[in-house]
Amino acid sequence: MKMTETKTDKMTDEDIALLVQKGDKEKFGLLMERYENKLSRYGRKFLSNKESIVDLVQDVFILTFQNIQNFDPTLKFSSWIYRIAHNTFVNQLKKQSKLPTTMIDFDILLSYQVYEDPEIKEREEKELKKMIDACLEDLKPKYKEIIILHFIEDFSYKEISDILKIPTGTVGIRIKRAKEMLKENYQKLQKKYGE
Amino acid sequence: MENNKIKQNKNIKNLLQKIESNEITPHTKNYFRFRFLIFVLSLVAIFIVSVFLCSFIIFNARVSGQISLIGFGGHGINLFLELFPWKLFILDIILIIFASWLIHSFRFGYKTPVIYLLLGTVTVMVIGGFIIDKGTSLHYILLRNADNYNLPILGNIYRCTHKPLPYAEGIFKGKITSINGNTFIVNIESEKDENVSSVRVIMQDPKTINNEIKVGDNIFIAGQIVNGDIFATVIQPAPSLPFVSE
Repeated sequence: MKMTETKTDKMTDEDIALLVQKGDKEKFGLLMERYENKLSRYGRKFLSNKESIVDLVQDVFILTFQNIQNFDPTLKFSSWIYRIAHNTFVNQLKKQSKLPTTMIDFDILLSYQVYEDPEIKEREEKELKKMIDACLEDLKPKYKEIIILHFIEDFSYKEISDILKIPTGTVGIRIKRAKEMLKENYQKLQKKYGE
Repeated sequence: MENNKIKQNKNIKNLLQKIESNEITPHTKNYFRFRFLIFVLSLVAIFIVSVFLCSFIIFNARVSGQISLIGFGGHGINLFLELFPWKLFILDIILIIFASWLIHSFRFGYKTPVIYLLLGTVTVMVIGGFIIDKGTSLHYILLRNADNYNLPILGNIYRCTHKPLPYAEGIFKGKITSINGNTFIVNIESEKDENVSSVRVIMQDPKTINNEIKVGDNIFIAGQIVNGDIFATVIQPAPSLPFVSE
């Protein structure tokens, strides 16, 4: 039992998904265990209504299983399941009327040259954590989500591009703008409470 | 928090039970293959219709001579814009936008900024349109069928290719029946009653007359009507339409 457990622990998400595609339904339980907390955290940060998160995460898993034959094992499973989660959470926001039913994102129209720098990310992390904890809720959903995916869920620009289906340059520009907004809101908050 | 965790684990177990009892089943591979096929066929159909529309717009501008109106200055440009098949053009734009939206679903599609996707789609459609217009006789064949009232649905659209210009707008189109110095006798079609009127056209500046123009040629005339005669400032050759009933 222990050897089997160790063996499955070492399996990648993509390998497990491939087994599920071949008919090993039980292995889907492993994927659910691996992603339950991550998706719950993502949902809690993204949505205001915390009570429905468990149900929404269930919906994500149901959709994931129903569409498992559409998953390409050569690509990252995490990007794929987060894409399903993104769609599910966005639909929930639309139901709550916190998003217009049709959204034209003008920042996907043009090309932007913004590069991901892991060194900058490390330096800014401590400061950013304070700002995220204090001011994340004040951000618009599209900026809130990008901060969650990059700084909390730790996805790269490329992975976020696959999750949100937007160009990599747009990911960079949204992160840049989101950080500026966080900083601005944090400074206002500091002024207000005299910290 | 602990209750939440217990609830979550219970939910996983419940969900797994539903999966194993086939209460929740995955879509089959064929379902996705079929969906992809519909997607690709839709894209191909949109591409074909859009290229066809684009090539027709180019064909129409060319064989009707409407493109020559641009050479008549501001007034000619206004007339060109008035006669331009805007409905077909807008339909083509909608199809191009829809095609771009479909392409956006693919990986190479969403990685590309939308403006480049649109420009790329427009470029492909326009190039395709030119190839169909210049490289094939498709539109000429369809125009012939339309003139013989042998083309359903598209017949009216094709017959508009030799629609007369609006009379008294300052630009006229007709066929030369005789030339005498700076005076031409021209058969001009009237848009109102579809009759052909024989009109005297007097070129105001004889030096600007194109020497290559001869009897039997179709021409565009820019000028004003004075007592039934047209006092012309510009005369330009217009294309002769094949299969037009005389």
